[in-house]
Amino acid sequence: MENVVPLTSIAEIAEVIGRCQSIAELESLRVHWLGKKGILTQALQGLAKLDPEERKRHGAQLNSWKAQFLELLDQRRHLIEAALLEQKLIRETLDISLPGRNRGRGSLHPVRQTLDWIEGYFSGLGFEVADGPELEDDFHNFTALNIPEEHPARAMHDTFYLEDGRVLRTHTSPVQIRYLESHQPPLRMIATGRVYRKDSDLTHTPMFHQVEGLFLDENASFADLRGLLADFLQNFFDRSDLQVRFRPSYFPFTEPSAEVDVACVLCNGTGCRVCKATGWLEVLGCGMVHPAVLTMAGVDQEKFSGFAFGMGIERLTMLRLGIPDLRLFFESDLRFLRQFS
Amino acid sequence: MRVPLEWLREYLHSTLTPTALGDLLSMGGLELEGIEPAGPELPGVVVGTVVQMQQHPHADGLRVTKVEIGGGRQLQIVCGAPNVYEGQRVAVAQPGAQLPTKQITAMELRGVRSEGMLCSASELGLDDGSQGLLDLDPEATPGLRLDEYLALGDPVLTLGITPNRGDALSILGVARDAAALGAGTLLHSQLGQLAKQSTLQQQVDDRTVQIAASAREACGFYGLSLLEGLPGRVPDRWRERLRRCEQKSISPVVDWLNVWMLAMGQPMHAFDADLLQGDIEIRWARKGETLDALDGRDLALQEDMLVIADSVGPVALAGIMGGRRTAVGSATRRVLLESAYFSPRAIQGRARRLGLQTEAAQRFERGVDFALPQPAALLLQEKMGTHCVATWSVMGELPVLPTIGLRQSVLAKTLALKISPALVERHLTALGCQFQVDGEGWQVIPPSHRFDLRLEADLVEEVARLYGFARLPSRQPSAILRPLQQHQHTRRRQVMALLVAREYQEIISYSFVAPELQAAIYPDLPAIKLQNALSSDLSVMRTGLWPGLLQALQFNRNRQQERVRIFELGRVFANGEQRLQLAGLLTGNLYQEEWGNTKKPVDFFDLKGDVEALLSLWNGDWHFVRVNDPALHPGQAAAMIRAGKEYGRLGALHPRLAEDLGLDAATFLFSLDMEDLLQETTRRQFRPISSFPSVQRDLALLIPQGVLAGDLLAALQGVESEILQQVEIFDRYEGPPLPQDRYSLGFRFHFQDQTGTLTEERVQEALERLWQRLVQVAPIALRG
Repeated sequence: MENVVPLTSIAEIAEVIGRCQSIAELESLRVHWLGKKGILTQALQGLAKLDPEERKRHGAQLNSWKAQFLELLDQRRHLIEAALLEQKLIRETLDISLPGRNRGRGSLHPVRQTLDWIEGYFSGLGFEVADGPELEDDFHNFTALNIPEEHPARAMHDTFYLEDGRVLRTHTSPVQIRYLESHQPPLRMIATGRVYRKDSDLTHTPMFHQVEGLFLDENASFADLRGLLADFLQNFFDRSDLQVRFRPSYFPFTEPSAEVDVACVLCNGTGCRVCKATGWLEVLGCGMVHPAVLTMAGVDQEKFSGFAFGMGIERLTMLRLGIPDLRLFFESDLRFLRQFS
Repeated sequence: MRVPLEWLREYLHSTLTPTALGDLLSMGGLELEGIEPAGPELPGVVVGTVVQMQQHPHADGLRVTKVEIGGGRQLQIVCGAPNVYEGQRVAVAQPGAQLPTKQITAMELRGVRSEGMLCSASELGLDDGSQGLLDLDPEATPGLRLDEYLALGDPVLTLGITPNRGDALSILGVARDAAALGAGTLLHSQLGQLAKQSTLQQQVDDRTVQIAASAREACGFYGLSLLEGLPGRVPDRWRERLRRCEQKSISPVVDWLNVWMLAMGQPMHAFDADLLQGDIEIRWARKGETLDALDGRDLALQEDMLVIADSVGPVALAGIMGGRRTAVGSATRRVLLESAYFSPRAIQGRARRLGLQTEAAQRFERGVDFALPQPAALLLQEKMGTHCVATWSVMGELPVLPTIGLRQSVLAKTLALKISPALVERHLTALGCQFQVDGEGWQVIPPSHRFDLRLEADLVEEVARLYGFARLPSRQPSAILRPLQQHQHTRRRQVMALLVAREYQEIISYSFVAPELQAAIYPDLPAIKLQNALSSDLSVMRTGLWPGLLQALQFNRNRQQERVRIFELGRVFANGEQRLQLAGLLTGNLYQEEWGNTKKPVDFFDLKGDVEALLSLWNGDWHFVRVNDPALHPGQAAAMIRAGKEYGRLGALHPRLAEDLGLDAATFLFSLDMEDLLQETTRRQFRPISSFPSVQRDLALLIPQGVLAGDLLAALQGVESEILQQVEIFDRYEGPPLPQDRYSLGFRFHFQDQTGTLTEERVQEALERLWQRLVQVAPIALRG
């Protein structure tokens, strides 16, 4: 630091402060002028020796210089700090286009995502989600559902048998029966899970998933069934104008029975390979619960009526996500599964 | 069920287009699965007459024919078919003709010019099982295009008939339902006439026919007609109908029987009258009896199977299949035509048990109109032009038609719609029901062909079906609101969300696995076998989820996926239970390989961290205890224990198993029994937060190898201290300069008091007690 000349005006100091390039230089300038032995400090101390008149005049001058000096110092500090921060920020600038670290996450199986969606929809309407065994006895899987032994309807199901005579459940419908064993109407429930049929080709796997629904109440009608399922399908496919049609069909445990078609979601009903040029896709089966089932469950049929519905989850998932091949679901190919995260 | 439209129109007058008719049937419950033309277009193929036939000069198997194709034009065609004869009407593919599989040109065949080809049915794309040249009716006009002659452009509908609708397994049945649905008018004048004709009672044969007393319900009616003057051929029109219905042509008599079964729904059978021995009885099969069935097999009969037997033994399995001994053949001069009613209960399931699937069984199982056998037999005889010389009719017990109450109130409630009584009655009439008004509804007797109408609900469906499902009302259901206890589903989603956040991908694998793989992983758990597995790879129920995860890993490693984290939630089948299990697998690098990440393979503790995060969803102290598991590395395996109960296991895949499975990277697995855990709710309780500063103290300890960190932590947790908040292990080290039999652990203790700032004495006092507890566990020293 250059020599300090006796002070004549604040402008001299201002010029020195203006030349400081670092906080350290500013600090030593401060010590030089205002430290314990600083020039101004000493000058201020020297005031005591002056007569009152002189003291007053010089005092005012010195205090004004001190205040100006501090102000200048502070201004310069802010400038230097701002410049330093600027440099630091430039130094710290990153290539923000590089990918982040450990951003991976897994995902649920597409079938699970559909199941979750469906459970969410029906839970929201007050349907209880029920569960039942996958190794099922003949009674619950068939007989209680009005499918007696030797009935041609049994040929609709290619059943896997265990050596003890039980079966791998061929549908989720037995959960209806089990639920009715412990619940009385009014009730609403859905059952979801794995089902099994002895069938394996391009469009069949020996295991797949179903959702079964049951609604029993005092005035449940076929109109309620239609309204509920149409709303469900329109929400599921996220198209409020989706056309839904009910066709008479046959299930041993419902009467009247219907199959439900939606206008093909791939070609909008104009006909394509997936809908076999019909413009319609069959997506679920349903009907009013058969009197034989209600009788077996001990339900008062003069008071209560109800409906049931069932659907294959893989098919719904394929239609919703545009998956062309059923077998992809069970190969556990990560390149497939990760597409739905 | 295939329905040639031209045949259907014989019974149904309708102005609808084929597509409109198909839609109407679909919406009426007979689902249209497809419409297609009866056959291909065959440009250049015409009807011809073989006017001359000579041996080919250079080839024994070939003949040189002159064929007239109308307009005086003749072609010389070389032909190799053995059934060619002079005067025969044949299908001639002229040069330039386009067959489904080839283009025809004129050529030299072994030195003789051949101007086209005489065709077999299969060459024309009209395969009906016949051999040699397609042998056309002698009346066929030469020169006519074959596709016009056979009307191959005519549509064939394919309908899906549900098992309850046996009545629709015939052209007549479909016509009847179509008419009821409003497609047009049913034309069944032929049937009306026949009902009036009396049956012949002329008996020139001394044979007797009877139904066994125990089989009277099973066989309600049994009729036989002895026929002479058998048909020599089935005319083109009928043979073409058979083909359109995908029936093979077998012999004129059998073809006629099939035609008639398809037309009317009445399966019939023909025996060679001269091969049947003595009297005939319809009875239950006897123990040990067999039938030499027409399909070439010898069937072992069971005692609940109904048979037709002569004095030697069974000659037919009633309503299912005939036998070879009395089968109609080329030498047959006279046949006994059977037309009978067998009850569905006597037929159902038997064919399937014997591994048979026949058209007759399909119909009888579902129910064949019991008013049909006699008219059907008479009509068939008329069609075949045979001469009936004797008949036998024996009655068993025919079914009694039910009377079903149908209430307007039930109809209105079920459909949420009031249908006028007049309209209901119109629908009932259209179905062929008889009814009487009864109070606020009707007493209804269904027609004899509708075996599926037994309950009020059945009639509700019929009325709704004829009214039109599309016209029925639709509304949102109303019900009483009620909260649901669904915590197990919330829990399940929580578990899955945690695993997904930790980069695990859910898989779903089959519940049946290969027994060898499973035995290698779970040698101590017996697996449930399937009685009829699809393949040996899928023949036992899984006792745990690891086989599926390991197979998924193999699949993905074979597709260059090195870093794999997968999990599955599903039922496992062991110890007589079906419990829900969660299992996961971890292998490859800890981090995605990319800029800024270290490349480090996962180890036991990466898996354990995931598992501990998972377990923290539940209350309670979880302990990890060394365990011997056949699938796991003996030094890297643990059981998860809470309150003395094991919930699951984790560890490194045993290197021996890894080698057998061809897995070269270290693989880690866990499994957790979720059956009870999903039911558990967790409610956390508030603990006050101290407003005084906390104090931290570290101890570096020298510990003998073999003493487990967990044992020390457990011991420390047993020390009662008001101020100890938490203990953690912040460091672990072994190797020089430590002695080989020692390792070091760094423990960090956090102290804090609820009531005041801690003094050094209180901290020292607590540390001292903790230290005293540690040295009780093992000879531990402070590391200098």
